[in-house]
Amino acid sequence: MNRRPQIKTGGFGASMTFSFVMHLALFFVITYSGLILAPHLQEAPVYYVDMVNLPVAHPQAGSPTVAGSQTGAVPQPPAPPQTMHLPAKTTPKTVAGAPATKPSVKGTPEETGREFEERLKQLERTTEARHQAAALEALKSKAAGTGKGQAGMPTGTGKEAGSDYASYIHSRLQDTFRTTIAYQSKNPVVVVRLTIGRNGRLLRYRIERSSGDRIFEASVIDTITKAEKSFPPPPGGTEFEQGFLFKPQGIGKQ
Amino acid sequence: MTFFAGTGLVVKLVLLILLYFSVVSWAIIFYKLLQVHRANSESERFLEFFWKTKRFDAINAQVDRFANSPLTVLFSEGYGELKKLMDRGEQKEEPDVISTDLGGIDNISRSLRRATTSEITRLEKYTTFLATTGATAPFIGLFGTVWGIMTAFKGIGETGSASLAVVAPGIAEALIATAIGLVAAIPAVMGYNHFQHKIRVLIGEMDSFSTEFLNIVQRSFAKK
Repeated sequence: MNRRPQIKTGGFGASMTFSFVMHLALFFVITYSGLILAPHLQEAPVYYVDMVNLPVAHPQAGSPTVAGSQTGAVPQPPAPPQTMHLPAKTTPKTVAGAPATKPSVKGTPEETGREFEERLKQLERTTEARHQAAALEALKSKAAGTGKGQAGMPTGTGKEAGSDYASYIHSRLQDTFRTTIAYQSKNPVVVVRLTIGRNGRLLRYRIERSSGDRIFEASVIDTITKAEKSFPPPPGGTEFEQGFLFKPQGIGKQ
Repeated sequence: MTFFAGTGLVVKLVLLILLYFSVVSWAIIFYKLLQVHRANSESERFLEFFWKTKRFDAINAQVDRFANSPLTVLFSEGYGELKKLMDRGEQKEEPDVISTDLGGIDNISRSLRRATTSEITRLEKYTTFLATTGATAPFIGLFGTVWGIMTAFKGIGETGSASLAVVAPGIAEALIATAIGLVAAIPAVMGYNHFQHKIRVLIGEMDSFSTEFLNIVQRSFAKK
């Protein structure tokens, strides 16, 4: 008689119960041990300090008093100065409604304050004198250069502001060079000396140094020919002569 | 408990599904560990007993001692089929001899194959749930996370505040779903791979035993 052996393996229900109990225990352990992030974080409180209305304990201390806005009266801001002089030092007595508990300053802190005031006054005077001198110089320069030349052209003469004719020519060449540049060697360099006549016409140009790149030289000459049309007459009614260094990166003055 | 209470309905549902997956997966793991361990140990003991004992009827009387071994089931099936063939031989007045002409050996072979298949099915029972958990739990957790983050951003939009205290709890709650999904999936995948390996070994043992059993039957009982 054939008979299959009776399997004695424990049922699946026992395993299920064991697994459930294990998960339950694990859940409580994790929850109560704080391993899982608490969902409600405490937001750090933000304190706003009224820096305008809060009286300071000491002008040099620069920090609000501990009493803060609890003080009854708010000190008035100092009156705007009428002249260029520094405002007179406001003593604690002149401040309206200053707190009664304001600490008295004496001894070394008072002396330091005076020295500071002195230094500040001296610095103020020096700066004022410099500003006045610079303004006077600017007015003189403006009066001397007014009414000369065209708008946008160098109008100054000699060493006056705006008299840098070479920079103007350089900028004209630079603008034109951007449209004509071409070269075949690695770092071609060409130095050209330009001579501009009294009427602003190019009298001559001389290649003082060449790197042998014919294409680059041709582009430099093309630049000069094109830029020549925009040259104004040199200041002072004299001829102008200047060397220019042409590189693929740009033009420099010699 | 507070983090669970603070989550939304969808995230709660996802967490419960994942908890179910995890509980059942671990239950299967425990059950299968026990089953495979018993199958291995009792197979070893049965093979030792099988080769020591010369008589099939004596072995058949003791099969209940090794009930968890798949080899015992194979032996019972094979022996049952052999006994039927021998009973038919007795009716033909040729006791202890089975005919190969009418496929006697093939009958035993077929019964052994059938027993092997049924044992494989028994051993592989529930392992598909482990595979399903390993494959789907991370995605279910990810769904909970995505939903939680969506809800968190919606809350941010409604409150108009994007401070850490507003954003962080929602994101943390949402990420818990992914974490639990992974916690459920990782043991399930590991368990599935482990049991697949153990079951393959047992299948190999069953094939070897079937071959040995057929050899013995052919040597001892088949008509020349």
